[in-house]
Amino acid sequence: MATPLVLLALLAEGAKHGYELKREHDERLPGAKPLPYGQVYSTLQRLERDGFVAVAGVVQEGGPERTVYELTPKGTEKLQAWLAETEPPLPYVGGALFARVIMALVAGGDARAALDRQRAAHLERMRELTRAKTASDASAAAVLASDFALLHLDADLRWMELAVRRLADLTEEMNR
Amino acid sequence: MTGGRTRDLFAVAGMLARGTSRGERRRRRLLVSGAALATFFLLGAANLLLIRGTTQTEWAGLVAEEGLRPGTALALALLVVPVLALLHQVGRVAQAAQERRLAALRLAGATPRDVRLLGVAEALRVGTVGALIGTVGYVAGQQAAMAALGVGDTGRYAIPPWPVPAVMALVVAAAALVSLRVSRHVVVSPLSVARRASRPAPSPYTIIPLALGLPIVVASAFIDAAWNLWLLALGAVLAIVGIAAGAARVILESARLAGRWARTPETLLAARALEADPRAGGRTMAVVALVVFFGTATGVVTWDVVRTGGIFDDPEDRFWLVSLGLTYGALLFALLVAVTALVVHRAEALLESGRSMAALAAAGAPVASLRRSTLRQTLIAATPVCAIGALTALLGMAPGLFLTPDLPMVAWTAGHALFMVALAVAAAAAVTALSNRLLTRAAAPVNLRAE
Amino acid sequence: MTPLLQARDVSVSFGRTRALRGASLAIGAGEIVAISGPSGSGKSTLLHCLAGILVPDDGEIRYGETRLDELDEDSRTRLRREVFGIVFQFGGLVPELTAVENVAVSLMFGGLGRAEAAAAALDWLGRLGVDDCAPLRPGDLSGGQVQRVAMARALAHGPKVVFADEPTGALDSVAGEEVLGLLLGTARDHGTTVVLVTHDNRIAAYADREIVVRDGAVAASPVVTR
Repeated sequence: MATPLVLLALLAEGAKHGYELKREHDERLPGAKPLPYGQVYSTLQRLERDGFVAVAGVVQEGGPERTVYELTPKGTEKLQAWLAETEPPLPYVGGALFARVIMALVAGGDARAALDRQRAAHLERMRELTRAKTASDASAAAVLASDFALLHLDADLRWMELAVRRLADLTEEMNR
Repeated sequence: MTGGRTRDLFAVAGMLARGTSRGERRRRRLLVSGAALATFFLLGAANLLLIRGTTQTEWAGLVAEEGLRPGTALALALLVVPVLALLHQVGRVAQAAQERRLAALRLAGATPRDVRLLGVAEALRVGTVGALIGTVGYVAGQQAAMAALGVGDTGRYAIPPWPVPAVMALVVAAAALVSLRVSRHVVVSPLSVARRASRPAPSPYTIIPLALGLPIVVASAFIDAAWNLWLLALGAVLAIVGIAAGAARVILESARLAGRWARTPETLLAARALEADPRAGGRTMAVVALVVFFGTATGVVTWDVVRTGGIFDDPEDRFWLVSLGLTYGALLFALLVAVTALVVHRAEALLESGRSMAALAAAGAPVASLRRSTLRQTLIAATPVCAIGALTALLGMAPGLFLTPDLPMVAWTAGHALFMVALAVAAAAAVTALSNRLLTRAAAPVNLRAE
Repeated sequence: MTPLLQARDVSVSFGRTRALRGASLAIGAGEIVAISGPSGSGKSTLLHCLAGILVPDDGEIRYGETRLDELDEDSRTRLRREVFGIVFQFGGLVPELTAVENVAVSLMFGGLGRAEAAAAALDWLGRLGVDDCAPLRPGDLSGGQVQRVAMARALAHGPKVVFADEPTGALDSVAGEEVLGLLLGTARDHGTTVVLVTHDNRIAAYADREIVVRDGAVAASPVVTR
């Protein structure tokens, strides 16, 4: 993921120090892997070297001293350019699931049972995500992250059903 | 619109008429019969008005006597009223069903006007067929009747040819008008057809003619002047028009009252269903009430006849026996037609509320309760309207009832009026009970399926 | 665990179409189960059988110890009224009744007086967040509000089992999930069993367990190895 750009976006709200950035990153993107503090630190240094952020000061709130960073005009420009771009629509094929299902259908045997198992596993994960998002303390970000995952898993399931139907039609045609 | 378009419309109407379902054929047959009956009665009325001179007969005075013929003609013409109510009711269903199919035509680019005109074209077709059947039936029936009764002077009584096309044109035009009127209530969008969601409730002002007519009728009994007969006639006409116009509002009020005091779910459902659409039931109930009105009035006349002479043994009074018999026959016929209209209305209502009925039944409302509810709906609508009909007739026809109370007379007249109300309400209730097969079908789980 | 609801080898035909051919399942008390499957798989028919709306041509339906397929129409009607609650895709509300009357009428069929029924109905509309819709008729409500009223109607008499046939099918995603969350939340609070028919995987994920119906029969539950 574009960690430097995410950090720039988080700094758009105002000047922040490294630990704050890590915390906000993990909070806002609960579906993503937590950001190691070391990576925040090294990324910030690279951004500063390239002139996208600048040191705004140093604070000390009981703990160790922390360097506060802020966006430079160049950084703002870079951020705006990123937000204006669109994400290339990934075809998402070539994933492990795709390969496994296709191979199950190709290799013959009880493809249906394999698909049913896959469906059950998917649904189990979807139930977990649904529980997470309907929990009374779920944040808006957590709900959005769960929705994102749920819709993708739903797409997998629907594709699997479709694959079975298409294959059944094909077999019927060949047997005719 | 150009002639070519009109021709196209008729061609399309013909195409549509060929590919129809069983229900639609049944509806068309009802429409044709209605048009035929209307033609028959109107021809009879015209025929009577054209006969000249009086022949002394023992019992056929209603036709043979100069002075009585206009009254007989009026009675025949009045018989068209229940037939019209039936036509209107059937037309409503037919139009909705046809326009549902015509939604496809709208997608294909027909304008709402075209669709409406298609309805008129269909009505013209049906009206023409009905008028032809009615004419043939009348002429043949009259010849047969005269032959059977041994009437010598057939040329004098037979209907002359010239009024026939006029009556037929009148019936066909009326069919087209009814079709146009009916189609106002249906909106066709290219994608679907919906009955206009909420029509305004019938206005309380529709009661005014009745409210004016009743006091005038009563007042005429107390006025001892030459013109009191005219006053009575004015009051009676106002009352009749008032019953026809005000029935829907009376039903609405009755339903509101029943809804407020309902203690069982059956009554509540019945009252609210009526409240939502008092007009549809009002039209047929008005006809039933008019039957009660004329029936009660006939009862008063019957008393006078019975009191002044024995109608069963005195040959002089054979006239009354036949005339009253015919009157009751006509009333029975009107009641039958009105009741048929009620059947059509019930079938339509059940068809429309199929899904909610099925849902209620699925949620555990016993089908027997739903049946009771439809019966109560009929009772809530029929009772007050019929009672008003009877009361109006009593007040108008039997001032003696109130001025010089005479026990047997009061008993007979009031009893007769009550009997008429009971008969009408029972007829309506019987129809409802008979249509319960439809209700059971409407409440079947099949209707739970989402389209 | 003795199952609360059980179907054994249930078959149903409509004319020549065989909607169910030997479907079997068991649902425990307090479970929230999704019956899913492609459209035309027979899942709605299975729901109608379980809810005692349809009698199967063949097979057994049990509610506790009661054989629904052997009960007469009156007893099944009473069972549906007293022990079951039902929600449909399109609400199935009576269009002429107001929201509160729609809920109250069901209670009145159960023998409650009108005033008590209306009070209880209003209370349930409040719990589902639509008490302000009480005097309105279904035609004046949004799809989500209609479904909430329908759910109040299904829950008001304290049913042991609620059957829901595509209850969110007519709603957009957000409204649908909101309404479903309310239904399942209320059911969980009261220990009510819920049988949810849906073709939407994301709705099925709201249930504790999924039963897949395919070609008129229940697919075997797979053993998941991860």
